[in-house]
Amino acid sequence: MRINPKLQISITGIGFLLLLSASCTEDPYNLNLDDTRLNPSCDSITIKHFTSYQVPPSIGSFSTLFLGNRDGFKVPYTLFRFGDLTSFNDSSYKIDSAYFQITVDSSKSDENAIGDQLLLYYMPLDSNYSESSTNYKNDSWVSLDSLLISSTVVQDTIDTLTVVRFDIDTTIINSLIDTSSVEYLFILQAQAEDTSKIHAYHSSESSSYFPLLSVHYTYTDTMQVDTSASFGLRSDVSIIEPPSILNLNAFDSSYAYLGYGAGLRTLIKSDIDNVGIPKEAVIVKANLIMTVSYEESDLSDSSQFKVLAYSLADSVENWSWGAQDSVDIYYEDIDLYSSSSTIQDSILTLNVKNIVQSWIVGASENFGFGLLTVNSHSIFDYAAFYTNSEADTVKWPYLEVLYEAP
Amino acid sequence: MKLRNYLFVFFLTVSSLFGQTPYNAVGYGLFIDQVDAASFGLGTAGFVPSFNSVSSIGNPSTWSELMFTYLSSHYNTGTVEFLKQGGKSYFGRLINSVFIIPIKQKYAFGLGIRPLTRKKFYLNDSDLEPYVFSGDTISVSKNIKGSGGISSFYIAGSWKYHKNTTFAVQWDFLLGTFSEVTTSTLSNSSYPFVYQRSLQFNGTLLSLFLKQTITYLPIKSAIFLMYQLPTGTIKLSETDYHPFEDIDRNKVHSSQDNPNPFDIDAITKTHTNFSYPTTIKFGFTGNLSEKHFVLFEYVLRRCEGIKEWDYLHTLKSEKSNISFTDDERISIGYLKEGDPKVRNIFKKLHFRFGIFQQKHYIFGFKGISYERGFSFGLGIPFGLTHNQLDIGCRISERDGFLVNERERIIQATAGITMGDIWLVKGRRR
Repeated sequence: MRINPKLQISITGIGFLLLLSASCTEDPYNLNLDDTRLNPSCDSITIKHFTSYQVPPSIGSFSTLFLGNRDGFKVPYTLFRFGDLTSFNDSSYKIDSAYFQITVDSSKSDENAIGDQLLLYYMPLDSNYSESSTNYKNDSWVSLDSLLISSTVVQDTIDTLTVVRFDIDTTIINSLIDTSSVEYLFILQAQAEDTSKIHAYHSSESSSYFPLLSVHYTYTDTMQVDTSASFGLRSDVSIIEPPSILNLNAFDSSYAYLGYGAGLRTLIKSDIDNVGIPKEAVIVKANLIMTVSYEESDLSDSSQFKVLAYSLADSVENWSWGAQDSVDIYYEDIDLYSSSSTIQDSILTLNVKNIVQSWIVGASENFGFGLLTVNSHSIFDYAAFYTNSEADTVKWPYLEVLYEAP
Repeated sequence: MKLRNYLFVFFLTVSSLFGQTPYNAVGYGLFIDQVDAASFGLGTAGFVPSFNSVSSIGNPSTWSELMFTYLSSHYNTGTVEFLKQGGKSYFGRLINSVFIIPIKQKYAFGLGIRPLTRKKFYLNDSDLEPYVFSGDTISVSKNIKGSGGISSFYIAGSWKYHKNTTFAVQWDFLLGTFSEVTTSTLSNSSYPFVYQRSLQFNGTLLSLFLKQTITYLPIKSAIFLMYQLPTGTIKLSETDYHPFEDIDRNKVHSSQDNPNPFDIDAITKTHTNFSYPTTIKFGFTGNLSEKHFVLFEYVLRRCEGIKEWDYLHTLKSEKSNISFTDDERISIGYLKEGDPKVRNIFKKLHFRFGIFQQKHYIFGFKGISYERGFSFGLGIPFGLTHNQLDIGCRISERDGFLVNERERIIQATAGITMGDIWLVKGRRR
């Protein structure tokens, strides 16, 4: 069938106009949409389950090394493991002398401890040694039988630093160079009369002034003499024995405690499952808020007391306060962490949005939060937070959730 | 250009765009009564004859009066103008496409597609009730976009039982989807929150038609009746997708977004306690003189009392005080029938004019919402098989929904009806 050409033109023209009118963009219509789906809601859930417990501190990554005693903390010694010296494993090298040097961290050391002499021991490296896990509960293998040398204190007049040096016998250095020989662990200790104070030194995790081994040598091929090279450490850790959480002069079971060097950690659980947040909710904000009691805390600088929360992977069997364990069974198989946060104006606010969202959608179960300190100005700092034992309910810990749900 | 090529271009250019109005955010949205350009110009809903003095594309009981096999398609476009806010919404849609085969002027069979309801809206509120969280006051803004609706694939047959009496029956197979996207923005969050919901409709409608010629009135005077009811199960599947924080801003729940895991199963609920309104239509054609006709049409859609519509609402009824009543439509039209055989262009054309009033089933801001308007149009017959190009225009106004402002709707519909001698050839031979 054929259509009249004039009709074709008319139809095509009309079609074009129709299409043109239909393709215009549209502006939204302004209307009150309070009564529609996807509305924000807020819930505040008081934390009523909590416990604080104590585990041996793992402080291998801390930027300061310690010796001595303070406020019930005992630091009997610090362990060092040297780095690789195999570059000298060549008969052309002749080791002339060597020394090991650590630098005093005067900001954290007791003032009257800065000039003290120290003792350096050594022992064959034990398989139990680990920078991350060696602690006062598992250090029975450490032997202080082999005294190497006592230190000499050197004042660095250029950088106004106090440096402690130990001259190392060349036979020890040659032993370290010889890859077939046994590897040594070095043990630093304060003199007996100096253990009532705290000595602080920059550790291998420090951004500057970290411990180093300086080796002076002659390269016999070129008769190049009095040449030196410096080597950092492979690892170091101070062994800290904190005051017991059961020491009622220091700690009170009405509070939730956190401390890095004290090994204090806290578990809490919110009844978020009973609040009625729908499974379809998307979490906008979720904050875990805790108020610190400065009277019960020992904080040198609360703004540097950094705390992390994580979602517990298993249920807490025993909520009784003050347990002491060799290992932290609650800090295992952790997938969900909060971002870390510090105390501001006596309030610790942890962003636990991803954890709460995971609980709400059912991707993980609400067994509660674990809390631990990840950094602090002083390793001896600990914080006490109010719990629901406090008479003033405003200071109770709570979880505040803002969500949107259809 | 051959017919099939023309039809291909025609369908290609037909965009599925639909005019937005807040009315469409509740219930089924506004029902689409227009079925063809001829009835559009007449102001009617396609029930009384409008194609010519004895037949209507939208009424199967008039199909047996047709001389040829027809393929008829109609396109509607226009604007909804919001007279207070000043915005305009444009739309364009295919409103009917039907293939009709009359047999020996005693029977007829046809099948076609048409939209029954269309929901399109784009709503915005930048000043929602603020919230307080952690001591901060959070302002909230929200916009909701919705589109979709119910369409029908229908088949119909008619039987001229007597020279004055014709029966017809039509089955509408309902199918359609509606999707809604809500985007919420909170002042304390960097990313929008998105929630999507979709509805899928299935069901069947049965329509019974009667045409009765009134013998004591001038020839071609007749009355028409129709009763339409849902049969079987009208089913609504509602799918709720988990809302998410759209961090990558692509409005798709992906691995970048919160919550993650992102492949959370959507929740699908099937509602069978869900109704589609029954409809009653009455029409009358009166022959004023040989080529002049007056037409009256009344449509009643029983919506009052249907309670199971909560799933359909975007705006919930609790706070907005949304109410429903029966949908009623009354129209009166005038048709001056043309003669395809004459050469004089004015005598050849069909002229149509009408006025109408529609009481919408959704209450407006002031209570019952009336839409009133007028329409006009013409039909251009051409060809040996009585092909026809129809054009209709309609201008109307109605009360606003939830807002005290009126909406003005200006629309035009164009339709082409192409005839062939299919099944007639044999008879002529």
